[in-house]
Amino acid sequence: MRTVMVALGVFLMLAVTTVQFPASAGGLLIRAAHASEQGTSGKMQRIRLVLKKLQDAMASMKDLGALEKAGMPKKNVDRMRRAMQLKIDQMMEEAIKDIRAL
Amino acid sequence: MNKYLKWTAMLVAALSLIGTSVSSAMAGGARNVNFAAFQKINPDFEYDAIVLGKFSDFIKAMDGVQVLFISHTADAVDGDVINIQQDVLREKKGKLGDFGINCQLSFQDESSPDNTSYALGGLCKIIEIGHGKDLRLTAIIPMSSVPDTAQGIDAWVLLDEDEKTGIAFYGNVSASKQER
Repeated sequence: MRTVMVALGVFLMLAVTTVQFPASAGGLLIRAAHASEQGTSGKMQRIRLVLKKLQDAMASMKDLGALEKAGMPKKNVDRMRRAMQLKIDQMMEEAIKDIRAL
Repeated sequence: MNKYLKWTAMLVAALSLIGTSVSSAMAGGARNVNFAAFQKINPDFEYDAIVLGKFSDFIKAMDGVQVLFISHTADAVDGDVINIQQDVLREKKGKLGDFGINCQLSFQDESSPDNTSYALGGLCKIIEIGHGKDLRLTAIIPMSSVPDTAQGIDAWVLLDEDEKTGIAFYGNVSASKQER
């Protein structure tokens, strides 16, 4: 009786392993592919956002001239330009890093 | 708008003088820069050039408008460039929309040895792009004196109002708690 029980146990374990193994391996592969797909689309979305921000920041540089016309001292406007340029450089670096990581 | 700014500058100067006599002047030093944006809900609402009172009075006086943002930049010093980004990038049907306000402000400490004086100016972009909207406005805020609440006068000054969108910007400066 004990032998029968052990044999049944081994059979059940084998059956479960045989049924489960391909399923879990397949699931793992599907999950990995899905994650990679999600990762790539996430990265693409991030790049699009960074590029959009970059575009806006570059357009802002042109608007800074209007501040001088409105009476803001030139040294203040120049400082704001330098600050904006710094932001643009940071975003540019970020965009390049993200594009390389694709 | 120029006439209105002139009045505001005069009022801020008057408040500074009153403040100087109220408390001993602390010349210069870091200040917290407070900057707020509102938008009219009620089209009949009129923005006041100066709103006196504590923060709660200020918000109470804004009945008829909605708060877009309130920003507090701690320990700002002369020449600081303050960036405020409040816009939302929203993806819909593969297209990226952009909604909100982005400001770039220059903070100036114009204090003399016996009086404090601070100024704020810059530009704010009001953006509503995508999902059927295409609005991109640039509000120029000329360098304007802002009240220093550390001088004993709690006040917020109107820095600019965009009549098309009903958006207005207010500002003041305050001292850090340990300085009071």
